[in-house]
Amino acid sequence: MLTAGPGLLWLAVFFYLPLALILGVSFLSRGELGEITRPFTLENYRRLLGFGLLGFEPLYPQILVRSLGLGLVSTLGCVLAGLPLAFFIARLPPRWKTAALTLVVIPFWTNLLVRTYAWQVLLAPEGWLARLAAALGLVPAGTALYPGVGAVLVAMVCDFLPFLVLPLYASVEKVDWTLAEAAADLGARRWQVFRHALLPQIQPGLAAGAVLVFLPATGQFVIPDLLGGARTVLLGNAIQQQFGPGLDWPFGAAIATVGLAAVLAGMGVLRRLAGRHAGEGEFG
Amino acid sequence: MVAREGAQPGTLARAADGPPAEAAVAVTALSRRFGAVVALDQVSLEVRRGEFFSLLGPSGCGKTTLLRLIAGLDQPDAGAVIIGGRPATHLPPHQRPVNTVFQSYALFPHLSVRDNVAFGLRLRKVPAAECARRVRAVMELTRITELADRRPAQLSGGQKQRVALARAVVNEPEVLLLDEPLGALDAGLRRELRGELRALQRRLGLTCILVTHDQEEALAVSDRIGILRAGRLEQVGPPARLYDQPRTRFVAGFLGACNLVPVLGAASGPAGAPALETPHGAVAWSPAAAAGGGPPRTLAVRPENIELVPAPGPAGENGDLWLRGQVREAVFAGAQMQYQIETPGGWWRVHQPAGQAGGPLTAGVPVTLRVPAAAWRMLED
Amino acid sequence: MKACGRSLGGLGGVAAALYLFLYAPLAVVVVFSFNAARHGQHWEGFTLQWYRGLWEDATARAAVGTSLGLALASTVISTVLGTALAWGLRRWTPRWRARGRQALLVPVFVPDIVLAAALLLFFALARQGAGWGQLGRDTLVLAHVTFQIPYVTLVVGARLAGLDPALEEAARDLGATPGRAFRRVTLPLILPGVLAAAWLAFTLSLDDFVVSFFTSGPGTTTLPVLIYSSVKRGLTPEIHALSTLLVLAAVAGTVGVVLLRRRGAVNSAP
Repeated sequence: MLTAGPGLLWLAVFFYLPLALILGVSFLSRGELGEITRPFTLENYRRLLGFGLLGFEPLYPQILVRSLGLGLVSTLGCVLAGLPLAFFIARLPPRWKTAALTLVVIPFWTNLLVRTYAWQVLLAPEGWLARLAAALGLVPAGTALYPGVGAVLVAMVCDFLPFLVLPLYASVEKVDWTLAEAAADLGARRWQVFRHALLPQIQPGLAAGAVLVFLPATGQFVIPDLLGGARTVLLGNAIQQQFGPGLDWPFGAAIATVGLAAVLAGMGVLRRLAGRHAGEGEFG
Repeated sequence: MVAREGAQPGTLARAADGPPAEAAVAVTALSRRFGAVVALDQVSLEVRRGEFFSLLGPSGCGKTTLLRLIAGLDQPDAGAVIIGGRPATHLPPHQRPVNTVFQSYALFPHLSVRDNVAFGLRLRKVPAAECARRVRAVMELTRITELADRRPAQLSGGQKQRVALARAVVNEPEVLLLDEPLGALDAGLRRELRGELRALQRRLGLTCILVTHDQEEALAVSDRIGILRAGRLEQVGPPARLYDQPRTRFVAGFLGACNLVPVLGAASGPAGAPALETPHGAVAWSPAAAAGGGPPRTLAVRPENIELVPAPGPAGENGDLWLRGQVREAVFAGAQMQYQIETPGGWWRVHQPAGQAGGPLTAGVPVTLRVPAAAWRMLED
Repeated sequence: MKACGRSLGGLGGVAAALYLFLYAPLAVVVVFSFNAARHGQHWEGFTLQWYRGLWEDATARAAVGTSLGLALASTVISTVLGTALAWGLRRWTPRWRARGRQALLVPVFVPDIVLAAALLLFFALARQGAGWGQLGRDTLVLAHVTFQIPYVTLVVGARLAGLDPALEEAARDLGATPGRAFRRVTLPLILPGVLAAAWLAFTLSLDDFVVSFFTSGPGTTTLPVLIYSSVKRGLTPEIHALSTLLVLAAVAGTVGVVLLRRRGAVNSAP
């Protein structure tokens, strides 16, 4: 009973209190030297909505929409790639299963920063991907395939694919295949078999995996920072800019507050779409 | 355990029926609620030294809660627990001189059988040589010596039960608590192990409190039984007395089969003697015999105390009730025949020894029932 | 399983492409770390000179030391706190336990960058108010423990949930104080879970960039922070060499855990 105390106290002091401070500071102003000062104001949120000193400019609403959209598309990409991979591993003979699964786990444990900057190499102008694109006439010869939204998206799917595959695989492994056979026996087409006989069974793993991809993808800072360029600013970069070089902490706090609310809301929608099992777990 | 053996015969004799000697465990007005559910409601009870006491009741009646309060694994909301004459209400479990055999056995999976049995002694820092000697003795007594090096996962249900028993008994507890210890075993093994349990208890002079929902088990092993229902103690007494003189409908119905007859009111018997009116006619009743209070609300008759006679007999002057009826169902149950008989006043269950003269009756046969005056039991509710 | 062969055939090609996709970034990093060319992507021969350069680079060595020390310290603290938290939570009433679990899940769901900004703000205000909170080794450890605790608690909690509560009660019934019951019965039984949780916490700490980037001071550059700032200045073979070491650590760690688990599974079988 009491042993839960220190851990909870730690989280209260070093997690919930700082989060409350972010919320509080988001209603304050930035001083001349970048310090946090009074008066209390809603100005930061007005700016977020696009009402700046120079009139209406929907920069931040765009960032918010872009972040959520990229998060969703990344999740969708991971689902499309993760489904065949999870089914492939689940249907392997047992002795190969561990190896195939381990091959998914290794990137999972590899530093995200490394895997992300590696795409700078892969998409570099002299890389064969860029040369292939140039040969196909998609881009002029000698240009890199980054920065841009496409590069960010590819890296997101690559970086977060294991997050989706691992929980999904746990569900797929438990699938009762006789249901699929029964459905096929009753004349269901392949898509119908999947939709009605398999999808309901793998929904918990799919939902958990989707949440695990959506959350870090939407709040991502490293991937757009290294591969996105100036035109693909996401929430994470916007927060970092204000807390770093921009030195407007109250405004950064407002972005963080709105971003956090958006991420949690998006997660709620995703969970409802994918079923109610995600995130429910082990604590009995 | 050796020390207690000498004192055993006298203790046991007192436990059977004498006035309460020093109680091994006493609980007074013990209450425990879980949220809105009252698990125990003002339960008071004394368990005598050397006694085998059973707490009997359906699931959810609070018997396990009571056991856990005695063990210290749970805290009462009100009331007191006294163990060996010393207040123990707020003592943590490790300071109470009691040990428990858990329903799930709760054997430590990472320890061998020997280490499981030695667990309590080692915690009490009993010297290694004595610890080994006592562990060996108890393992021999419970016949698990050859299992000493196995892990719990490698044991059968009956073996696990013996290890759990040995692990508790080796500590020579003042009271041994048994929470449905035989519940997970099949019927044959249950019967065998409960005999062993009773023999062990006698031999070591242990005080035992057994929680069970199996009335047959409770009747077979107990010196006394306490029947719990919905958190209240309905009746306490030796098995034979509980069976023969139930105080409530619940006790009458829970311990064996019973015919319950509602009392409709007071009536006058022949010669103006006080009697009770029932759907079957008047039944003689002596207000003096009623322990306080007014007339009983329900009468009970055990099915084996009713006689079946093929032809109508004379109306007796001795207060016996004679009823005419028809056999509706006849079931052969080994040693006895079990009949359902319909009479104008209602249905009766009647058990007769099998192999009686005239052979078993069959459905449809008209019969006459004789309910002897001595067979009636007056119930409070 | 009648459809097994056929469907695997179709899936096999897709799966191979996906594995290629997953490993392409790792492969280029490893390959270029051995490439003699300093600039460009032409293969100019095998070399270990970048690793030698790394070994002689005091900054890189310091970063490795900082990262390992930080991971070790934060893992010890978070494993102890998180395990105690999971154990304590089990004794709560179901209602409060559910609330406690929610309080633990929020940190898991909050994006790194928000936690990082919140801690940066917290330490800044602490410096102003209490004169404590200079960014450095201490703040790094505090920050890492904060994001590790929920994961440790969830992993250990899963292991605890599979444990018969009567085991601990039996220990107490046999004369063990709560602490001894934990040490002699519960801890040995949940140890695999605790070790798995510690391993997870260690890896999370070693992998973290965003929170470290915000809460580290001038003298305490972690390995990911060093890689990030190097990448920002321009890719060099030395970064590839450093990253290759991280990739190798991940491979070794993962394979090690798989092998350990396999051996454990064999041992625990009756």
